[in-house]
Amino acid sequence: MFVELPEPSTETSNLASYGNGKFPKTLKAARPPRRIPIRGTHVTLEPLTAGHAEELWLLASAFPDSWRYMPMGPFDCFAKFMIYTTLIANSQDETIWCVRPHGPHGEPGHAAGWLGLLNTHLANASTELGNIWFPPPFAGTTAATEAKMRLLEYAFETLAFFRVAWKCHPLNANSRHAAERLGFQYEGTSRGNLIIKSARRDSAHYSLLAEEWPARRTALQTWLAPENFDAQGHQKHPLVRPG
Amino acid sequence: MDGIRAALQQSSLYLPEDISEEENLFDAGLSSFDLINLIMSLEEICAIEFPLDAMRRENFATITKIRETISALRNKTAAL
Repeated sequence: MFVELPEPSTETSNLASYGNGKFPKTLKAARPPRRIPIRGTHVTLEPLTAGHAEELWLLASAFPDSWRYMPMGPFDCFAKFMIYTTLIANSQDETIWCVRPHGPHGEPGHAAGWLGLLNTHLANASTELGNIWFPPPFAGTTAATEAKMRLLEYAFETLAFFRVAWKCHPLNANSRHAAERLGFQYEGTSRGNLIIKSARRDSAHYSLLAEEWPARRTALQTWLAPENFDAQGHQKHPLVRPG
Repeated sequence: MDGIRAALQQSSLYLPEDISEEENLFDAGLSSFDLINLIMSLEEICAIEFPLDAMRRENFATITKIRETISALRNKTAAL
């Protein structure tokens, strides 16, 4: 015995109806991130290599709390940090850039942290801005905001991604603040979806879509403009939040 | 117990001792943190040094893959 299924209606047999009607029917195929340098006004992003480990070790060892919400660390010796840096630099699953904030004359300075694109699904034109390790001297600076902006620009405009995700520990207030400031929208919290450092944890999820990016890029460019900062480098007007 | 299995036991609390040669170690409980310890233990127990370009997660995904990686390194060193 079998149950006869109703004939699909014209509407449901249309492939386009599998979408929820909010998004464009035709999407450009996304391209995989490439390990290329990205230069901004306040910061340069270099593809991470094992060679960066020695330069970053001073920060990695001096600021153990900077690893609190990271998937790895802190590291009790340089050898372990070197191996970890090499593993993520060689990874096929994520593309990581080392950040160099610029000096007073616009020249790239010392390595100050890293960030990357991961969990990339080309078929869905979706990626994630993550593995952001910005220890205190760099965290919260204008260059740190620009580093994230340049990677979003690369993801949306060069690689044609439709969605960039952001996930963090729900108690990581700095990460949640950074996501919201960039224009990411909160989607919800997954319960116990990850095991990090032998502990199961929840994840707060955010996303930014290609159609939202132009307005956020304009807001970020306006905020980053030289005329928005005084001689001491303090902002005159804060970054406009998404409407 | 051979060197690779000894290094695995040193590096992870969760891996079963009788894990098969082909089973994916990460799926079986080897964490990223364990992987760093595993690389250090292998270097010590097997008296080798992994070059930077060999430090790829996929080279340590199974015991067979680790054997192949170490064997390739030894052959390369012997050929020099």
